[in-house]
Amino acid sequence: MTTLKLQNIFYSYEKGKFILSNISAELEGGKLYAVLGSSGSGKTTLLSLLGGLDTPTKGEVLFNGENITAKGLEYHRRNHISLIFQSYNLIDYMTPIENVQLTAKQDALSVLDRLGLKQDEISRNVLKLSGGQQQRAAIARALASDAPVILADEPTGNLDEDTAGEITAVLKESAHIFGKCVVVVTHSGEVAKQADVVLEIRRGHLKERNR
Amino acid sequence: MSIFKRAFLYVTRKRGKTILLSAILLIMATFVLTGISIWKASEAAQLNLRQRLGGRFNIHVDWENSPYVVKEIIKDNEFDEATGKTSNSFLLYSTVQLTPEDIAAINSVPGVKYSGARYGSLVRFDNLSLFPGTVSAAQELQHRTKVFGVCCTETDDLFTTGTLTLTEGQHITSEDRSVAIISGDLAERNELHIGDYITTHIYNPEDDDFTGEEMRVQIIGLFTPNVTEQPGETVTIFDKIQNCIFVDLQTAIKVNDDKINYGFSAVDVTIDDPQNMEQAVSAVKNLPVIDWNAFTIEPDNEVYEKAAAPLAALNELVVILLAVIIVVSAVILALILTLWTKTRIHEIGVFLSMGIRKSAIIGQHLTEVLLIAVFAFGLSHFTGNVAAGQIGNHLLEQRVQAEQEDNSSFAAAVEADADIPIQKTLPTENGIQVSVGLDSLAMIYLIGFVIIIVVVSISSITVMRLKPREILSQMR
Repeated sequence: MTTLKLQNIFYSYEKGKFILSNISAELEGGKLYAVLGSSGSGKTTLLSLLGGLDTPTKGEVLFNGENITAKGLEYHRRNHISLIFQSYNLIDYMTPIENVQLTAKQDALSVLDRLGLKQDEISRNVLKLSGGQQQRAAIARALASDAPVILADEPTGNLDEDTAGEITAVLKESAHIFGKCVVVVTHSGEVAKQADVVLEIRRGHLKERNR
Repeated sequence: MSIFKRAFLYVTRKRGKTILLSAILLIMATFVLTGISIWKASEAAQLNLRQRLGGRFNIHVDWENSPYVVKEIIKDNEFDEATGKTSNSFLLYSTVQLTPEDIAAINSVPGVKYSGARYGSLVRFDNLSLFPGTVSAAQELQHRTKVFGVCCTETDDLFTTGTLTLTEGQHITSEDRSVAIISGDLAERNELHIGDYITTHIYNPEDDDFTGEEMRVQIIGLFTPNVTEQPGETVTIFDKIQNCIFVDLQTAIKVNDDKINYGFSAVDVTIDDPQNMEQAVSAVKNLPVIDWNAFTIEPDNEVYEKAAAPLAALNELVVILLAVIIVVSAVILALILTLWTKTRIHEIGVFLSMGIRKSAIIGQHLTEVLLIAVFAFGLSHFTGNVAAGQIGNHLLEQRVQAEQEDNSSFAAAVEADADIPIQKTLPTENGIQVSVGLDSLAMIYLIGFVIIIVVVSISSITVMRLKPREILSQMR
């Protein structure tokens, strides 16, 4: 079972001023985690540390017991992590299928089909798709890479309620059916409701919220 | 997805940028290709000119320093009643001279094209009707003509420069004895033919005339002069080129009853390439058969240097222009690509977040520019051809004009030979054949690719130094 472990993590942008302070947590595959917190509380920073986009000031991030810096952060990002962003971050000169094919280890067409994108939509320029379609394409890209961990930063932030619900369902399915460890940073109470575990960052500390 | 596919998608989907970059690269390549083509054409024209003109140097007796130079006083303090002054007459000669064997050794030196030497004297021939000169000569010289004793007429300056052409018969060689080549006009005037003899007598110092033992010389060739004196030009009977006679060296020495000379005091050496003057001179100086205490060498590259000056100036100008164009092109390209890389920060961040290596991202950017460059550089073959021909000849015309103004006195006339007062125009290159060859195109690809690799690497530095998180935070 995949585990992503935060071990005594400290992070500061300024010397002595820690945005994350002595955070420890163990995240498992097959579960959907929601990370809540007010703006500027350090949610995205936490996601960056988990995704190997940044390194902690102090402490370690372990993937299956191994420090993610051991083989390099690039290796960690390439092999263990898939990122989903609020602004989709699709490559604008590629079609959805080409975006998915960028790092696909699975059949891109079937993943897109599973996420409900039609044949004519997958070969259209991504900028000509709706927000929901773009986010579906972004999630398809994350799923097709076959990474064991999916990190999503406000994935429903730009979407209407119905589409947000559909996207949350897809993420939940990824965790429960495909065994992925899905970590979603969100402000959305609806997403938090669907999560298996809700974590909250408050004053630099991470706590599991009782449900 | 491979780097190439990503690059191909970018180039084909971002058409505006592709067209703009293609145009920029096409203009730059056309400039550089034009410069390279003009430079290469100018180099080729210089080589052609060098080979056509050859270089020259003169080996002659070192009259000032040679220990073999003898100054023999003939008349000491003789009083001249006409002028009322006393004067000295002396004979200056070297006891060591250049023999036909020495000349053969010089000719065997690599790079030496040929060498020619003459033993000149004024000789009177019996019953030979000469063409009159435009000015009268002294009484005792009125029936004499110029006789050149040579080893070989084929390598004589007058024949190699095209002033004279052998039109009938054969050249004099070092093996020939008692033979002559005369002008076709003189032969016709005297009803002489090849195989006929002309007669003279050995010089008699007592009579100061050719009254000694009879000597017969057989005509083996006829020449035609390609230049004639200009109207109003002053030419004596013996200087008139139609009257000149070439004989073998031994005959010339014998007819003059010369007890001092057995060879030449000077020889003109022509080499294949004036650029190799130093090597040729050095190789000749190493010849053991020549006593270098007696002789000195005087290089003469003036004709070549003056003729090649416009091309050399053009070459210099083109090299400077080429360097400027390459540097300016690289700077412009670097600025454009740096700006474009900054606009792609979003894409770079996404790629980095996916774990795509920075080197693969730079590789993609490089491949994109190279793909466009392959097309643009290929197209520059046609645009470069058009531009190079026009600009090349325009630049050369300007340089020729400038050089001619600088050297007007020289370019007006160059004396072909000290013995024969014939004017000869300075050879020049009237145009250069500028075209874009495959080698130039290969060079543009090489230079262009090197510039692109350097420029893309430099333009990527600013973005690639950032951490993925910094890039992603800039994306927000």
